[in-house]
Amino acid sequence: MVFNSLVFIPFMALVLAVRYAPIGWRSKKWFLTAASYAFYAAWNPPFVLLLLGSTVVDWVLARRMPAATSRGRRGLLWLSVCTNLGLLSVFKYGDFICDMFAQLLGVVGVAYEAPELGLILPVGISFYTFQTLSWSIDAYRGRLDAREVSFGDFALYVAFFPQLVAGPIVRAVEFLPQLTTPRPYDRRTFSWGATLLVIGLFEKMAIADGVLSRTSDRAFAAATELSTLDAWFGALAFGGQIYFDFAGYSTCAIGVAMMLGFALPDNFRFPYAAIGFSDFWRRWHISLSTWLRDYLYIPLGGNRQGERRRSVNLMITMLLGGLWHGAGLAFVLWGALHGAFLGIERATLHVAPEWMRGRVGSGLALLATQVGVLVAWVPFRATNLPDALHFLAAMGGAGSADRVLSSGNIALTTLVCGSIYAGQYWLRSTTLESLAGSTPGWVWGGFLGLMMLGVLTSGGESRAFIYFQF
Amino acid sequence: MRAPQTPLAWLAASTVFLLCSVGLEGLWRSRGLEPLPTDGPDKWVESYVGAMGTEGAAIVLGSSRSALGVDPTVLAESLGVPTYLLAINGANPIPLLEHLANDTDFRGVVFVEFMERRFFTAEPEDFETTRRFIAAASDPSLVRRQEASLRELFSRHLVVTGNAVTTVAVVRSLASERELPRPPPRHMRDDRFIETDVSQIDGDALDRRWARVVEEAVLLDVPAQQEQLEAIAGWRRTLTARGATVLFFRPPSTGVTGSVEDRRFPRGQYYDRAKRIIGGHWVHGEDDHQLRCFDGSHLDPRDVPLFTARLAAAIDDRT
Repeated sequence: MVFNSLVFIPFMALVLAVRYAPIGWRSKKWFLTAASYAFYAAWNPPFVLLLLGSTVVDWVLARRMPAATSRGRRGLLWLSVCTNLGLLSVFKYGDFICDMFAQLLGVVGVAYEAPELGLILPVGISFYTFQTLSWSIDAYRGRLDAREVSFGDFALYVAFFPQLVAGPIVRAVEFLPQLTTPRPYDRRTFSWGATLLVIGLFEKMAIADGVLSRTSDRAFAAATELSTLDAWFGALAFGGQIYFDFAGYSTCAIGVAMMLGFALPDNFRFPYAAIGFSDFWRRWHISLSTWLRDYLYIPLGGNRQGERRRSVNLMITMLLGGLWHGAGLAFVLWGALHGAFLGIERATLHVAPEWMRGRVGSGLALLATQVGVLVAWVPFRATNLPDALHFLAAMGGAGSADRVLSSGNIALTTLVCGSIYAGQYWLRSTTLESLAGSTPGWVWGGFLGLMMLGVLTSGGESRAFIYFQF
Repeated sequence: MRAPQTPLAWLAASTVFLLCSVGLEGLWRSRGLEPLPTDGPDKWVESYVGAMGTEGAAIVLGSSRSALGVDPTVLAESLGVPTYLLAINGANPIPLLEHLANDTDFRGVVFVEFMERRFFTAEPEDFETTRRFIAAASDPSLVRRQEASLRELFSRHLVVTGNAVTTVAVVRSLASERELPRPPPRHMRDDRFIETDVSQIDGDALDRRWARVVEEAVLLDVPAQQEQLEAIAGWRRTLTARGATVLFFRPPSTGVTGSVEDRRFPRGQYYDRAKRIIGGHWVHGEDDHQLRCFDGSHLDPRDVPLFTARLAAAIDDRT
């Protein structure tokens, strides 16, 4: 089930009715867990067993940690990490690993045809795996005492349907405390949640699917025959599409959670106004970048062991971040590009002349960041690595003379993406809530009404959110 | 949080939404637009499920040439069996033929549209669309059918939710035609047959467009063509051995498109070769010189009953 489907309306109505019914808090939590499993099962029922299995294993292992010896605790953590990453490896990377292995053997002259596993990737496995990993690691580090958490609460934390399939990636320490005491109905929170749901649906259905997907789909389908102009506008359209698609999902998820009385962390903070790549990663998919920082980059040594080691750690983190998105060399290339951009940014910070630290420098850094981000989106979206290279070559000036995109595609992309950049730059130091707070109620309501109309008139079938495939 | 989440904001939102939706619905209806079912994987799956659940049903596989050129109601009346149109716009029927050959239960009548640029193609997108539709039929989702029914409900009662009047369609129409959208010249019937009002269509412009598509079609090399035709022959044999009847038909083409097809795909080298390798029953639309296409590629609605009757007669003659 997805937020932009019609069946979600009766589902949500039922969930809200029970959530605010005069029954006990414990019963409500169990109902929310059951509803979350139903939400997940609606896509492919057998995979709820995988979700349940992962939940049981991590809950049991973490509960044993406090009483275990230091070595025992480490063993329990490794068991949890291996179980979680093992499942992820089989389902997500099985074919990729077999393929790489066959190619490796080919290099040393051994002909080997890798078997095709052809497994279906369970929706959201990357997201809930990272959530359960953070639980186990935090239990190991003593940041939480798993013995104080009931199985019901933990199961709800893992399966909570607003964030289950595409994040934000929520830490146990952020979510579990919200389950300890009943959360009464709050009109303002509920109302703001509903507002976020409308905004998220508008971003996804009216902008990402309704406008930008046409241009980006057309450009990437013709990756080998693009003109330079088409390539840039195709990349620009995809940059906008993935933002509105993913930020739209996150906004819906946060909104739905708020309507149910829970707070989820922010996942986007106007990333297309980022000045510098490190700023970009503080604004884009924040729950993943902070997860990678806390559970990978810092344990690797972070920036505590000199500049060279810092760059290596950064590159490892970004490569694995790329691989987290998908089993393919194109995702690795995307991660490598961002790793390289971050490294270059760090290196140039020290040698930048004084004038670069003023407004002109900021403007140039903004431009360089956004161009770099656009370039990196190409391997992320392209069907395969050769197509990505063709696309990048076209962006570099080696495009064909033929035009693939119509002037309508280009005009709409310019209008929408121009508005994104201008709007995000204008809002870069603020929040949506403060913007709403400083706008008269009837004006804000008018905009909201127009967004609802945009959702109604977006047409077409309900396209899945891009991040579902990760 | 200082968000203006006052009742006033929601009152304004609801008022704007309701007034605009009702106003737009009225505007589109006053311009002659009507609520219409929308084609897509869900609608196709509905027909597919009907076909698979009906013993001895006739099905038509193909692209828009079949969706506009073979009337399933006429075919059903002529053959005396329920008939389902499983054509998909812009898609290749070959993966569906393969799928039917592998479905051990299917024993009905299959009409397969033959087009040179699809049977000899090297373009994977053609195949992908068909595979996406087939995958939709085996989608394990518990709510897919309910979602399709709800969408159908909206599209049958509200013009404002239709694809002809999306925000982008309205902007496009204003930019290119300098006017609001008019009723579309094509609309899909419940059985997925597409009825066309040719008076609203610039047939010559479309003819030139299709001719360009045919001209630019990328073909397989000769050994790969042979391999593909042999695979199709194998699926045909599997189906006929199981008791099904398979008929391949080549829809007619005229105008510039017809000339380009005749030049790029000489009948002896393509149609006759495919017929020889694949075997079975074949009908060539250009053997009947009465048939006309309104845009060079798609049959004129006035000739659809005639062409459909020819297909039914070909089955009667050969069974």
